[in-house]
Amino acid sequence: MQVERWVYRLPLLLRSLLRRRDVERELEEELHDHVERQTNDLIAQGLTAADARRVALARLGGIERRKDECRDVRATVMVDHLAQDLRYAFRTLRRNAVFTVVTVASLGLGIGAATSVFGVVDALVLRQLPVADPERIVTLREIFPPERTNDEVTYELYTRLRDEADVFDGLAAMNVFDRSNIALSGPDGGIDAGRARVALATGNYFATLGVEAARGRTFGSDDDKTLGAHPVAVVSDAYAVRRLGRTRDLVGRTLTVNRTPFTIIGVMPPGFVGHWTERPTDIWIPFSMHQQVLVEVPAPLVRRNDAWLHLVGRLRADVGRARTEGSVQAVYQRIMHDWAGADASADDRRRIASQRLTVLSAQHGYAPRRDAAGTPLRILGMVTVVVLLVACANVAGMLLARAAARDPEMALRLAIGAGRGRVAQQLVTESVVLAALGALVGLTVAIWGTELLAAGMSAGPIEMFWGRSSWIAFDAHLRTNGLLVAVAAGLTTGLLFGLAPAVRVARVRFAEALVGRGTGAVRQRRFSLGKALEVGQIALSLTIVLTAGLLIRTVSNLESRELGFERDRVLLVWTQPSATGASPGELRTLWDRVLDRLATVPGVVGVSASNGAILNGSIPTPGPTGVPVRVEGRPPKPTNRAMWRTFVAPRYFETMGIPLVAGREFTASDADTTRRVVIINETMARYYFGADDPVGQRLAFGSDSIPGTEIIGVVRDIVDGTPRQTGPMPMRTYYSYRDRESARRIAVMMVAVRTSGDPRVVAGPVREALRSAAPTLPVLDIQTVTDRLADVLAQDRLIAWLATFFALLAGLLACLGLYGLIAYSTTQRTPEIGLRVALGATRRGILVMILREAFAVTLAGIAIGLPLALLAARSLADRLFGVGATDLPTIGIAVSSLLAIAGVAGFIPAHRAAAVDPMIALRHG
Amino acid sequence: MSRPADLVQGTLDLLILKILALEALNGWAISQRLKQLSADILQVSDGSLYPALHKLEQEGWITAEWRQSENNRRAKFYSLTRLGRRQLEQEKANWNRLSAAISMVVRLRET
Repeated sequence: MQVERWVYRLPLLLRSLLRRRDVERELEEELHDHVERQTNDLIAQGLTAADARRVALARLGGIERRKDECRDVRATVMVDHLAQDLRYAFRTLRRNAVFTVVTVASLGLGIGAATSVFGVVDALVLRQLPVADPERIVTLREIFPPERTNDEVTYELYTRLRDEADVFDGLAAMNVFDRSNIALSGPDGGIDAGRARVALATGNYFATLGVEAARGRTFGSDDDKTLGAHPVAVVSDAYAVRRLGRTRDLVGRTLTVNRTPFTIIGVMPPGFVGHWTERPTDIWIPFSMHQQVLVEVPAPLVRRNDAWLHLVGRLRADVGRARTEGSVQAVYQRIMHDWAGADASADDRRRIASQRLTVLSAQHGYAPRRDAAGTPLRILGMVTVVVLLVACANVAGMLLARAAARDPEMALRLAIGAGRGRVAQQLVTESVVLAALGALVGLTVAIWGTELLAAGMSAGPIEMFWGRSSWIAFDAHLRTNGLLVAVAAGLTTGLLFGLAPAVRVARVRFAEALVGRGTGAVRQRRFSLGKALEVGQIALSLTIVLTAGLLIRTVSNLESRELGFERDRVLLVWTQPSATGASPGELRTLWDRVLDRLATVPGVVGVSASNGAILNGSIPTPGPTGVPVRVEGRPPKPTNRAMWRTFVAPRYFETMGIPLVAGREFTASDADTTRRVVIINETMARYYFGADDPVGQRLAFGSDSIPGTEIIGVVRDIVDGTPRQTGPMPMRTYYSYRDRESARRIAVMMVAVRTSGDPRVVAGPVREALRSAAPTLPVLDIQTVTDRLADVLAQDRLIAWLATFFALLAGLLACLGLYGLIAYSTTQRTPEIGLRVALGATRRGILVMILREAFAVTLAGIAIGLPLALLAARSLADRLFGVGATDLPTIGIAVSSLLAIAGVAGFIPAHRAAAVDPMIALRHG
Repeated sequence: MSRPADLVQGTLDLLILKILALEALNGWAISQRLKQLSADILQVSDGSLYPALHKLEQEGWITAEWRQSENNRRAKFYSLTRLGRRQLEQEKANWNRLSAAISMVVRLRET
């Protein structure tokens, strides 16, 4: 029955949609035909032609009206109405340009901000590894209570876990290294393939991840059997396209890495960069070739104290999570006890028992820095949701106020015969059009917002071994998910806030509205709803303003912290000797060559170098590390502080502007052939020597029986990780770069250049000089201390900046909303004000009365908002520095800025009300 | 709406269906036939005829086609569909039940 009906109906539907003009013409023709026949009939009965036509038309009741009725029964009536409503909506919105722009802009910014944050979260947290069953991919992490963790293990631990833990469908080990001297051979003579990130991975790496090559093949266990015997390589699609210029015809060609030729056996599919997504891999080489890749490291890295491998495993599908953890832990404990030996002390046994090896999901890729970014993302997410709420409240308030202003128009439309439903539909259409425009703007904002945010979030200091890591920048683009979020947010807002005025239409007493007495129940209701929205808006704004204030103070505290070294006339040059393929012996010569050459650059007054990064962005881990230290001739003293070793060139402290408290610096003659010397920092001097002079004393490390190391100087403590570093300073020992243990350490080099003027000016000449002195030495970056600090604080600055932007936005919206509310209520009260003035109220009195209304709403908002704001502030306490979550001055500034907003928003309507002419007001009221 | 007060709601549909069951007609002819057949008792306004025709067409009960009428004019002719025939039977039955019930009530003797 139903189906049969559609057999007739569908053609009609399609016809009226697609051949609208024909359908209209036929309707016209049909009705005219009727009128003509009727006219003829009437003429035949004796009427004149003119009379006959008039009567015929009258009997039909008007052609246009009948046409409308015929159109109304069509199935396409909805479409017709919609088109009509849309045209009308656009016309109305164009007429109220200011209203439209403000609404669309506030919605757009709110939606854009929310979508941008979603885009980054999507890229960071929601995307899975492009491998088979990614939910079974895990990494392993050692935990040493109370708080030290370690993701890098020894080859021996890896092999024992691989062979003894039976809960994996495969357990692989790998690490990634930056290499710079890579070339692709070819018939055309070969090309320099520049810098690349090379992964050394065990043969089962690809099988464990469950991924195949797009061209050629991956390597397997057969390609990783004998040290130095498997010169094969697999390259990523991104690297092939970016650096090798193609993905075809690569298999079989030769890639030279650190002077060893490797045969390319495969190209991976696009999007696959290994499981360590924070360090996208370019080239994979079997583990057995690590000596050829890491030429700066002397021995095969399979000894018990060479912890450098990251583990990645595939869980067995048939083993539960709990059993996996238990089994891994049991094997780990067994290995640790084996290593400690039968004669381990009770203390050692207790310590080992407290250690754990935990299984972490790597479903979304291994990315420790991403996990650390959780807090900033949470703050941003919170702020954007609040901004979106403020924007929605604002739009709702404006729509309501406008709806009230349009009462006479609506009443007129109802009076001339429009159905209430039809009018309500019209209002909803208008709101949806507004929301759609807002979503469109939001989308535009989100497209660059996502990229900006991703760039900002991934910014950070370069690291000595890695260069600048790109942990989300590589694919944070707005995707379909983001689009859906924007559209959904926009339409939800539109419907939600379009409904309120529409519902109102059903309720308004239009007779009153028409005669211009805007009183009655509905006005009262709207008024309280409008006030509630404004109070909420101010409460939320206070939250954002306070958050922004605290974050700004945090950044300014961090930036102005005294670091203990020269900021203004030092240039930092980050280089990577490890990537050149220089042997340990060659490394010292490389240092000398670089230092000698840079000293000759004009404008340079001093050059030195260190293997430790200044401002590396990390906070030194507490707890005992390294070997125990003893002062010769004194009883041993236990330590609970971290102790760090740094290798530096002569005049390092002078160049960096670190004051020497006692003794002297290293000179060129402090080489490994002479007696061993060390410089310590003040913290260490105080701990071991108290008020005594440490210079000339000797330190013994571990169970050294050889003559002790002589202290030749003491330097001031410096804050060299991040300005966030608080608590006790770590102990530091500095050795000469020619020390007997320096060989393996100086594969990393930060050159410090002291300049006579602005350090930026010499950056170019320094780069030139480096290129001529060491052509293969990668220069990661050349920057001033200020720039370096900006890099370290990049995330803090970004979040503070965004929060400030959102705070301004929220403040502006609150101001507009309050202005609209007060202006509306003043207009409604014009007769009352006129009466008051007539009865003797002063202008000043009126002004105060209206302003009081504005402040009442604002104070209510502040009263509700303050607890909320303090709650929000407390949740970001671990992000703050040098300022408490309940910092009174900041709270005071936030509250007074909102009061200032109330003053501005209230003054204009108040001023206008005070100028009311009582005669006019009373007459027209 | 301009539905005639003397026409019970829905009966216009029935009348149109019945007239079209006899032969296919255009709008003008339908209005004339209505007058004739009811001996001018049922005054259907011309105005309400066309919306009713378009509604029946949308329901799939009648279908329209453009044909030459007498004296060579083009006119839109409506005819009953299979669906419309079924609908007519149903409405006829409804009407008979309704009118029988009403006449029974009306014929009750007043005491």
